[in-house]
This record gives sequence, structure tokens and C-alpha cells, in this order.
Amino acid sequence: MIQYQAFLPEIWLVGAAFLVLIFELFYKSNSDRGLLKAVAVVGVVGALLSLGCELGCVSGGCPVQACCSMGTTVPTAFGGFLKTDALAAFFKLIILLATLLTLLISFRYFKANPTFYVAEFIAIILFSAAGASVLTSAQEIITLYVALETLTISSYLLAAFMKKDKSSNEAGMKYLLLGAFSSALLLFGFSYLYGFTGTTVIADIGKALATQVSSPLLTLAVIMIVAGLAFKISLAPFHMWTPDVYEGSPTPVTAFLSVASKTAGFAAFVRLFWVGLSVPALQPTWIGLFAVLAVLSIILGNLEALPQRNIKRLMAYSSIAQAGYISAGFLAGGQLGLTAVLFYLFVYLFANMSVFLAIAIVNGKTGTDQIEDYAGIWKRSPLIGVVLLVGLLSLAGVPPFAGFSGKWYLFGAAISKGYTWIALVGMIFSVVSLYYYLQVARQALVSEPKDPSPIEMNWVERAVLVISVVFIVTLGFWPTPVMQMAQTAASSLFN
Amino acid sequence: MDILFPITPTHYLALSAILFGIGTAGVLSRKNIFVSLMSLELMLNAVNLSFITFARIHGDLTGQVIVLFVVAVAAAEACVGLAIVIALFRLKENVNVDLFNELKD
Repeated sequence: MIQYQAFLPEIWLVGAAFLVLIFELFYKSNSDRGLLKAVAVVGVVGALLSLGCELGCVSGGCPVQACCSMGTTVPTAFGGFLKTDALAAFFKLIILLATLLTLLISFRYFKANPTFYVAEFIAIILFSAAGASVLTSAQEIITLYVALETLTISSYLLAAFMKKDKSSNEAGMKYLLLGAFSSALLLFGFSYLYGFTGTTVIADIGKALATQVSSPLLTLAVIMIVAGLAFKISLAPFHMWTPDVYEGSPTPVTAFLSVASKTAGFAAFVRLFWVGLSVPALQPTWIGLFAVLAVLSIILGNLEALPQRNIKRLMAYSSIAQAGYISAGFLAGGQLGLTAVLFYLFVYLFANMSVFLAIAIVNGKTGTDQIEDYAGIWKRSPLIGVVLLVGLLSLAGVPPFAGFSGKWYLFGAAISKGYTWIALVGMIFSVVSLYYYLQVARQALVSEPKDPSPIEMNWVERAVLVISVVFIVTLGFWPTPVMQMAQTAASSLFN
Repeated sequence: MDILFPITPTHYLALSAILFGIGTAGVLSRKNIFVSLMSLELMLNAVNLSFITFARIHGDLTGQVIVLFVVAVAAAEACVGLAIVIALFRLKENVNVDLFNELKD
């Protein structure tokens, strides 16, 4: 029997997406489609609730016993190809929250840039989130590949969504060419893994490779898999698409790519490498590769961010650097490193999403993404000023914000496994990153506004921004609850 | 007299690697976007060939099933790719990759 609890969040997402597409048929072309937005939000909230329920049941602490029909067994489906353990649930939580915030950003974005295709946009976002969500519980490389392609093919469409806009189309095209290229590399690596082991289940691949001696072809396969996935999470030197795509895409899509897509990429990395390829013959190879990629991303991402004038482009380079920091924790691995990765992704979600929501609100009013036009934002909307300051300082890792404790754990994990040099590079370039993050904050808080008219936002946006800021500050002082969740999640990988 | 030497799985793997190399070179070097998309298809089909060969070596059906999935995904990718090319062509009247220079540092 299929335990549908293993993919309940995805059922909510896909169901909501289809409902949105069906309801769209009954709308006149120029109405505001409020119902569709409500359906989408209900879909994501439903997915979050079912996820929370499942997470509560697995850890034995669910207040609603009615939903725990299976007790504390981890739900699996399709012959073990999908397994929603605590690790998958934590990744799903981040992806679903990111989707919810993306929807909110997109409502603001479409108010400023009207399009006839709101329903299609919402539906593709939901499909894409469903792909990312399946990816986190995939236990088998083909499930993983198909889920990854569901996520990325939807993202190509989203990036090119403003079809009258040259830069959006160009972003979509570049993303498609490089994304499909990287998928082909990944798949070629997978085919050799299958060839060496005769199985596609990740855990069985690990068992079959445990006795294998290292061979050039196997190493080549691993290199291709690392390269293919590194494209998706934009690790240098596979990051060249990132700035263009982030700048050209509609703002909600940029936000989605920078958080949900990256989280899904890390989910694939964690399962594939720490379960499947964590064997003596291969581990030194890919850990070495990751060390190089992490350091390159930290250095290149931060240095190239320095001269940027467009805030979305700046956030793109910043996200490359952030992927580098997270990789430092990832390659340290073990309970400590993976906990740090999960915690940092959670913190990164709030910091990045709140900054992108602020960008969308400012863009809706001023119609520009240039940093110089952020002059005096603080006087026009104090909340946006605070969000930019807190969000960006958290990304830079300044105490007392959550980014600091996050980086503390990441670099701590790296040092405990003897990668002190990576941690050192990370710390030095965190200081460099302060320069460009503070550049934006200085414009927003110190300069005089050219146009002093206030920037208005609705109560939902205000509430989300306030909650994000509260989260970022509280997690900095008191990371324990989220850390405990992350610890449970990370330990579920090892038993 | 063995004019046709026996073709072993290794030959198929070599062919697949060569096709993959040609595809990679095509994606990275061609200026026409259609040729790039065709090269991508070539890469995916090279992967399919190697999956089939490994399925044959292991006597295992999984490898053949994978190919069906890859073909479906490749079709979706080509579909999205061509849709974006059409949208771009309407704006630019050209399909040369070098002319897509709206976004740069």
C-alpha cells in the first residue's frame, strides 16, 4: 500500500496548481484574479500544515493524534523511492516557506508589471515547488533527476516569463542553455554510477561502491555529478549564468531561485554524496573538489559583488558567496556539518526573502533596481530601511543577527574536520562582503532621498517583513529551537 | 574471416562518449541557438546510449526504463527552449547567441 503521507505536501501543491489553472478559465481577461491567489496560498499553507503534522508524528510530538495514523514510522512510497524522513521534512519546510514568500512577492510584482498570465505564473511556481519538494525525499537517482528537471524546467519558464521584456527572455534562454547542459553532465555521471553498481537506489549504490577500488572512469563520473549539481546551486566556477539570470528574471523568480532552487540543490547533494558516494574510494576526490569550489565561490562571489550597481545583480553575487559558505559546512559533513548547513539555509531563507520582498516593493514604487535609487529609503519607508539593514547584515554574518550564529556553526564544523583554511578564507571574505552590503545600507539609511514620497505597502507585506526581522534577530540570540530541529533532521540521515 | 569484428558493449560506451563530446563542443561553441539546442539533444541521447549499454551489461531493465524518462524530460526541455527562442526571435529578429547581450557587467 502506498503511504500517501510521504508525498502529501506535493499533493497539496499540485492540486492547488491545477485548481488555479481551471479557475482561470472562468475569469475575464482584465480582472484581478483574487480567488486564484487565495487558492495558491491555501495550497502552500495546506502543504505546510501536512508537513508539520508529519514531522510532529515522526518525532512523536504531534498534538493532533488523529493525523498520526502511522505512529512514528517514517512514511515511504513507491517501493522506497520516496522517503520523507526528518531531513526531507526540514528541506521541505524551507522550500515551502520560500514558495509562500515568492507568491507574496509576485502579487506585489504583478501589481506594478501587469500581465495576463498571472494564473500560469502561479501554477508554474507551484509545480516548480512540487518538483523541489519531491527532490528532497528522493532516495533513487532517477526520481531525483526527474524531480530536479521538474524544478528547473519550470524555472526556465519563470525566468523568461515577461515575454515582452528583452532581458527576461535573455535570462530564460541563458538559464535554459546552461541548465540543460549541466543536467546532461549530471545524467552522464549518473549513467556511469549505474554502470558501476547496477542499481539506481542511492543507499544500494553506497553499498556496492564500498568495496570498489577507485578508477579513473568512476572519478570522472563523480566529477561530472559535482559539476552538474554545482551549476544548479551556482558554485564558482559554474556560476556565470547566475548574475545574468538573477538580474533579468522577474524579482519573485529571482527570490525563488536564490532560496528554493538552491535548497533543493543542497538536498540533492546531501543525499547523493553523504549516503551514496561516501565511500573510501571516492570521498577524498569529491571532498577535495568541494573544497576548491567552496573557496572559489567565496572569493569570486564576494570580489565580483563589490563593483555592482544593480541590487539584483549584487544579490546574485552574494548568493554565490553564500553557496560557498554553505558548501564549507557541507564538505565537513557528519552530524555537525549537516546541522550547520540546515540551520544556515533556514536563516538564509528569511534574510534573502525579506530583502527580495523589500526590493519588489521598492521596484513597484520607483521602477528601478539601481542601488543609487535606494537613497533615503529609510525616510520613505522606515520598515524597508530596517529590513535592508537587518537582512543584509545577517547575510554578512554580523553579530547579533542570525547569519552570525549560522556562519559560526558552518565554520566551526569546517574547523573541527581540519578545514581551517576554508574557514579562514570564509571569515576574511565575510569582512569583504560587509563593504558591499553596507554600501546598500548606507544609501538606504544615510543619503537624502531624491523623491521623498512615502512607499506604501499592505498589511500582509508589513507583517511578513516584521516577522522576518524578528526571526533574524531572535535566531541570532536564541538559535536553540531551530538548531534542535536541524539536529534531528541531520541525524535522520545517519540511521 | 572476421571482417566485422565483434561489437562489444565497450564500443557502444566509446560511441556514447564520442557523441557526448561532440554535443558538449556544439553547445559551447556554436553561435546559432538552434544548433546549441540540437547539441543538447545529442548529449542527452549519448547518455541514453550509455544507459542502454549498461542495462545490457547488467541484464537489468532499470537502465532501459531510465531512457524513457530521459526522452520525456528532453522533449519537455526542447519544448520550453523553442518557446523561448520564438519569444526572443519576435523581439530581436535573430537567433544568434552573441546578440543576446542585454545583461552584462
